[in-house]
Amino acid sequence: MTTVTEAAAAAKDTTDEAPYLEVENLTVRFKTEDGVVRAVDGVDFSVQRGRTLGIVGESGSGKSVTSLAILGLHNPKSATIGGRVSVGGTDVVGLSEARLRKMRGKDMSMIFQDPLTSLHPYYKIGTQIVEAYRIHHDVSKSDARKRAIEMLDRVGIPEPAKRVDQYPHEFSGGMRQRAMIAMSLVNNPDLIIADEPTTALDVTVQAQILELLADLQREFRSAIIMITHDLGVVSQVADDVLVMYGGRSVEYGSAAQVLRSPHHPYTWGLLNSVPTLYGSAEEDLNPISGNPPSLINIPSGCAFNPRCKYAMLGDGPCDKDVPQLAPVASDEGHLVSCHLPEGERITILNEEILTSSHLQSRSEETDGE
Amino acid sequence: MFRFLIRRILLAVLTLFAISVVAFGLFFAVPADPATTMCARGCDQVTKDQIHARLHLDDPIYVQYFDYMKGIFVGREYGAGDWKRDCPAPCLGFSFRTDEPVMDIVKRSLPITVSIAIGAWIFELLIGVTAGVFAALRRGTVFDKLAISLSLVGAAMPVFFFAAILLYVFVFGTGILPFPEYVPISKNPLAWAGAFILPWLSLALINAANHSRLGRAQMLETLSEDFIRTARAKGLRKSKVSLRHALRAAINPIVTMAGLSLGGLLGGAVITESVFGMQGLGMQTVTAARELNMPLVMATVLIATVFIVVANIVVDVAYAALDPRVRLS
Repeated sequence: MTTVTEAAAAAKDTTDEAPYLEVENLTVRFKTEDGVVRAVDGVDFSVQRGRTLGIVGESGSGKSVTSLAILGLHNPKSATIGGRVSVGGTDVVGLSEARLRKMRGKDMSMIFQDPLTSLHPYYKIGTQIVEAYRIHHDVSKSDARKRAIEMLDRVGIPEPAKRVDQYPHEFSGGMRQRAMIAMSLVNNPDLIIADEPTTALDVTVQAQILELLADLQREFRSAIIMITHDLGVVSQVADDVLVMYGGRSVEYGSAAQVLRSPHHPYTWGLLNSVPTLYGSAEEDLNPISGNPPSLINIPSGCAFNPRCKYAMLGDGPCDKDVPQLAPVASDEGHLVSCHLPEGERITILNEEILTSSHLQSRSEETDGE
Repeated sequence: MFRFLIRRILLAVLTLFAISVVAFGLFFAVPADPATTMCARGCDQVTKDQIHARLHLDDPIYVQYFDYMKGIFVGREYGAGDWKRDCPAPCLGFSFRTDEPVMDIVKRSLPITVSIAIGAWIFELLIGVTAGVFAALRRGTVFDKLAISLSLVGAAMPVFFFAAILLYVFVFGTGILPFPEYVPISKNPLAWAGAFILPWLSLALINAANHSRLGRAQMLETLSEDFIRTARAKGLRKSKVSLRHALRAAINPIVTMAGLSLGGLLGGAVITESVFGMQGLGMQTVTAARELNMPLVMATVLIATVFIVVANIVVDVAYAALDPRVRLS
């Protein structure tokens, strides 16, 4: 496991700066009446300040559970969390609620998926931002209010002095998410976890919100984790990408590596299931057959094997051994957990996956940037 | 807000009017002639005719209704000549049984009913809402399970049975408390509270079951809302998340139920009053209905209606004050 982390760390180009967030061998388990749910099972990743990690996967792959574990928001009675999560040098796993609380919102904050349900319906936007600010800053209400107006202005809400006294239901979806971002960023957190921040928004607004986040990231040099199932979003904002399946990471590398030369059959499936605007919809849309695995009964061996077109069953290892996340020899810093020999993966990638029309157009788009 | 209030009050007046018409109609729907009810044994036709004349019972029904309503607002006169009786506003007529002005009976029994209602209401809310909220916050613990089981017992328990148990234990058994006897609050507040403590408890403990079950369900629902997670992600301490965020969002249905419960209690808690032998509005209504003492029935129905209609308006206004998403227009 250490070699993997080192390899991952080596993959980070840019600076020598230590990652702000380091997650090592994170496990999250829930005890339920039906058995133990292994929601996250040994995941490693790290994010430096100023960089964005995209975590991709289907519902139930463990993305959101991972992010809630970083903030320590799981109920300790039902969830067992293992491994190490270092936020700015502090290991937050097993940290007391009192100390975690002081870090939440200040060192690490979260932007949630649906701003309508994530904001309190009975409090004014301003009141909610003021509250968030005053938890971590000993300032008067009027100073905090000035700060709230300043933040609303910063996230691009027109007439912030007026909007500060409005309720969430008086905001449009995009404005609401801007307000949510203002609230999350009011304490200048170094780590921002955005859990599908644009899923509830329409596409034009989505682009604005992503741009805003990128802007704010440049300004505050924060580390961002962007959790999403939208590969378009990932390709737009992420520096690194982690693909999760069944609570484990199946592929990890830079955005270019994972999105342009993916090595895991699940990532291939994800890319293939993105429809394009060109060509016929039926040919174009190739969803991954089957359903995400039950996290109580994870398939033996590779969790993806029942849905994998290329699985080596019978004599093969795919339904027997759990594949480990290992470096791709020909691509430095790119990690994948797959039993297929690397040569075979490259052949499949070149002959079957990259030839599919929309993946090409997607890589052309990326080239253009 | 102002326009809403006006509209709501107009609607209330309409409701009251409809109820008063229906209740007044009962005068004529009942088979018995009031005159027969009123005059003693060996009543002859002459006396009956006199009674009819005195009470204007031979006037057309709409004239009688108009006179009755006029009596409430400006007062009226009954009969003529020797039988002439003045009934100042608000005039609710005279009891068929005792010939006492109905208003005097109301003045006598309403304080008892109001005393029972207000006290029981405060107790049931304190006990019920607190238990429900804490049960939700301590979900799955012994406290929660105890609260749920007691709520079930409370909801299933008939008032007369529970009140009888209380009476047996505290009055006849141990003698800790004297048998409840009404003392006006203005005379001796302590004796007043002592007299009402058992009626309060018997009503409150049973009604609290509803409040605690509603409170628990509402709290559990809001505790699982996204904005609670947001509040925790901000770094807010748990007590503030529970009270400022969860309880605040859960309070509306609780307030609604509390308001309607008060309206109901003010309308008269018949069984409680009768177990404790208190001549409150509820008891008066039952007795009056049995004796076909229509002026008294009419009065108590109207008063109960006013309480419930007003409680409804208060609940609506509270709802709007509490939830900014409710537009009062």
